[in-house]
Amino acid sequence: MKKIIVSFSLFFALTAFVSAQNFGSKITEKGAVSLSEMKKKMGSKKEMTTKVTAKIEDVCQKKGCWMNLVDNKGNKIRVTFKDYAFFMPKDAAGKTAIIEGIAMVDETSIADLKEYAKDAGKTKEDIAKIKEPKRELVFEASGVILK
Amino acid sequence: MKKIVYSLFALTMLSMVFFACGGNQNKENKNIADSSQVIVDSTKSDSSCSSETIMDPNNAKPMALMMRALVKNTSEMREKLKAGETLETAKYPLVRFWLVEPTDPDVLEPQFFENARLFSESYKKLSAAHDNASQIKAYNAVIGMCINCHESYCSGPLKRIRKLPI
Repeated sequence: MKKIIVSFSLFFALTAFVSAQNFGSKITEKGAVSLSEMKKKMGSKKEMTTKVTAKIEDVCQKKGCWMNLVDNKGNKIRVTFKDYAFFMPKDAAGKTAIIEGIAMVDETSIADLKEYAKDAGKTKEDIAKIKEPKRELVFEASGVILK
Repeated sequence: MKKIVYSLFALTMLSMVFFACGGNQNKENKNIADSSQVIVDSTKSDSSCSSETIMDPNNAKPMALMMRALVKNTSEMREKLKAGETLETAKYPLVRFWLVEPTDPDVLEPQFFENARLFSESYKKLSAAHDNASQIKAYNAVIGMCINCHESYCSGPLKRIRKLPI
C-alpha cells in the first residue's frame, strides 16, 4: 500500500513538472512540422501560415520578446510574438517549442539586428560589426506551447 | 507510519497544485505589485488552471507595464475616435512612464528624456483638443511621437504601434 501511494505521488508530481505551458493564443500540437519541412513547404513563397516544432536555442534576455529556434540540420529561425502581446520565459533555452503563426521572408534592419544582438548579450565589438540589413526567414507566432 | 505516508501524499498533491497552477500567478501578482501606480492587466487572458495561457512569465519592469497601460488607453481612444466620438480626455491622463524603471537602463540618456518631453507636449495638446477632428489630429501626433522614440529605443513594439494611427 505504502509503495503504491509513494509511486502515485511521484507520478503526479512529475506530471505537474513536465506539463506543457501555453503562451499567447491557445494552440494545439497537432500538425506541427520540423524547421526543414517548413522551409521545404515555404519554397519561394514570401509568407505562409504554419505550425512548427523545434528546440529553443536562445531567448531575448531583456524581456523574452523573441527566441531563436534551431534543429540538428543547422536550420535556424527567429521568432517574435504577434502584436508584442506575449513573451517567453527568459530561461526557456533548451526546451522544445511548438509555434503557430506566419513564416515570412523579411528584411531585418541594421537597427533591429543590433538590438537583437544587444538583447542576446553580444559584446559592443560584435554589435559594431553589424553594418548591413539582413534578408531572412522569420516567424511571427500567435501562440506557443513550451515543453 | 501510515500517518506519515498519508501526510506526505497530501503534501505532494498540494505542492503539485501549487506548482502547476500557482507559480505563474505569483509572478504575475509581483508584476502588478511592481507597478503600483498603474492598473494593468498585463499577464494572462485565461485564469483557469487547466486552460491557462501565459502572456508574460517574466518580471516586467514598471516602464514596460506603464507602456502596456498606454497601449490599452490609445487603443481605446482609437476606437472611439474612429467611431466619430469626442473623447473625454480626462479619462486618459498622461502616463509619466519616463519616471520609472525601464527594462533596459541604457535608455536613460538625454535623447530619451527629450523624446519623453516632446511626447508629453504632444499629449497635452491631445488633452486640450475638444472635437473629434482636432482630437484625431492630436492623437496621430502622439502616436507619431511613440513611433519616433521606439525607432531609437526598443524597436520590438513598433509593428504594433504602427497599427495605431487613424
